[in-house]
Amino acid sequence: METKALIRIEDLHRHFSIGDQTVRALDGVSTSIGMGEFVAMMGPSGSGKSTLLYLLGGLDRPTAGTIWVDGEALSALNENALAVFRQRDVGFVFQSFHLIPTMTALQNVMLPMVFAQVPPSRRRGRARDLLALVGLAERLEHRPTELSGGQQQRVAIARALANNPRLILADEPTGNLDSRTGDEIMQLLARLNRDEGRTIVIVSHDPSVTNYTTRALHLRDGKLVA
Amino acid sequence: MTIRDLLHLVIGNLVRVRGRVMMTALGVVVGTASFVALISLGAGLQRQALATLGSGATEIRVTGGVAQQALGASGGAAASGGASTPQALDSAMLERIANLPGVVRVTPFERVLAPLDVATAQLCSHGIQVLGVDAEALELMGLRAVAGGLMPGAGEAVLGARVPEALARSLPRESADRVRGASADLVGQTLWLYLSRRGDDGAYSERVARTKVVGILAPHSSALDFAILIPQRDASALNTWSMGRRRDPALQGYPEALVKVADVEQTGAVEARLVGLGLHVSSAREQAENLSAYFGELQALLGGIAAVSLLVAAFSIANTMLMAIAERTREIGLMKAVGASNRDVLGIFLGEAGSIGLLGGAVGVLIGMAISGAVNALGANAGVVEPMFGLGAGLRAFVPGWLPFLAIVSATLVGAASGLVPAARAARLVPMVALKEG
Repeated sequence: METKALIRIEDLHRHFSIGDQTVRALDGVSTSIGMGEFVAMMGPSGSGKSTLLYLLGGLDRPTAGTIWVDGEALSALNENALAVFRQRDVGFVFQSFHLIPTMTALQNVMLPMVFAQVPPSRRRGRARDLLALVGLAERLEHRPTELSGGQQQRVAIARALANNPRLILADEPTGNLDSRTGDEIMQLLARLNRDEGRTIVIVSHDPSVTNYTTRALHLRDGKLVA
Repeated sequence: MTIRDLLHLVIGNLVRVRGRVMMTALGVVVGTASFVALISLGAGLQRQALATLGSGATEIRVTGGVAQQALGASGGAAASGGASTPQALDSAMLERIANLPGVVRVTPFERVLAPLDVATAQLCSHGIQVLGVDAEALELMGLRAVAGGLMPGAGEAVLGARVPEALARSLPRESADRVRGASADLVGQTLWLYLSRRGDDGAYSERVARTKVVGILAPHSSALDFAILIPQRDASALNTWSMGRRRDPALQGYPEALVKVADVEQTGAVEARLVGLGLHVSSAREQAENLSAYFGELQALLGGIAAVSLLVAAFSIANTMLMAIAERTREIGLMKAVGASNRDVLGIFLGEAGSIGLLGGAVGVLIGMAISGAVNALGANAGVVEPMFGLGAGLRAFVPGWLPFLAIVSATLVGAASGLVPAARAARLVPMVALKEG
């Protein structure tokens, strides 16, 4: 069965100027990712994997090259359109969770829906369902400081699912967690991929994640290696 | 993001750092409070000044020249320099004035010529104006007496509202205060008028006229308040003696007359017609306009001073916002990652800055109004403030209806404007860069 390509990347470059030096974080990457895949992007530190992930999520713009998501070129989108893309099509999970500390778990999960103009009545219900999905039904009114690392990451995953995006991007999701909690998180992500068919791309330097993913891409010095 | 959600986020963010918010808003409070207090002070003074013009709003004071006959000039031609030499206010002219549309009544005043001293048993003064009037005219002109009657008969006099006080100036201060309070006692007392003249042969002679005070007028206008009013015939008789020749103002022209207009709107038109008749006019309307212009400038100046302190508050808000954004860079990156547009971020930070302005403005308005009230409470009990422009005693502040509204709106706009540059900066952050901060 041929999986339809959700993401297509063509000759992607991302260069940074540090002083008078140019760092080539991504140096010509081309690949595609099919719908429903669970892809791990592996590589040593500085290989450009996080950079690639952020570009996929519309959180940064490439120096050269094109990214198509579901046939739409991201580079053709202006700032406002890119924001809409981030709202609707992408859910991001970060290594350090990045929850808003003064908001409860429920409010954190509702936040993306606020920006997507989801009516307040629907927001609450959906947020509750999502937190139940990630196993935190008992922790709705807790603030991040009252949650463990694993629990915070679960909230972050629920938040990433808030607007029902096609694509979940996770930057070292288990990086700040112990191995057991990390496994739980990976199991959760695998479950989302399997049961709901969500396309997930995660970045990790931990080889054990490949136990859960369906495919692995390897990067070194800004290029894909076999 | 809906407005409701925006407000929710903004309020949540501000409550988070409420100590800092209150400190920053304090600057706006000071600026707004001084704005409200100073402007209400100016407005109160203006109101007081205009109030004293009161009935003067429908009166026009007309001055005329001396008729050609009195000067002994030959020929009956009217004076050719129309603007510089007014026409005479003789009985023919008075008739013409009375027949003008909009004119209710015209009352001429004869002026008893100086030098003149005035004295009662206890008091004396030099330089108080004595005017001759038609006795019935006073009541018809809408004047009222606060003591005694309004109609001076032969050998009687009615005093203007401020005459007792002017008479008392010759006394030491404590006694003067006592006399001011007891001005009503002057009714029934004898008033002596001391006149002097130089005869044709150069000889100097004096005359004393005796009148009885029969009434004291209610405050009217600065002209009448400081005048002693006696019947026309008495005044003409005194002038005949002073000038050494027969004085008949009906033929020779009165020095001035008071024209009562039907209503305030017609004052301008009547004034124009009077000028057309070749007379000089002055009215409270002109005074009112001058006062309004003066106080308008005063208020603008005061408002400008207060605006400066508001400007300082603006810098305080801008600084707070810059700090807040520097601290919340990651949060901004996160918001963009979950789908906030540049406009959403701009709205949040502008909302925070504007809310600080709104909060400070609201509190400032309340404090400013309290100061205004305090001035009124204290000013009413203060000793007599030396009056200017005929103001009543004491200081008064008045808060015009538009002032609180203007103050709050200005404070909010100042807040939002100060937050504009920081908010724009926040809106333009690249999410990835922002997230990597810290």
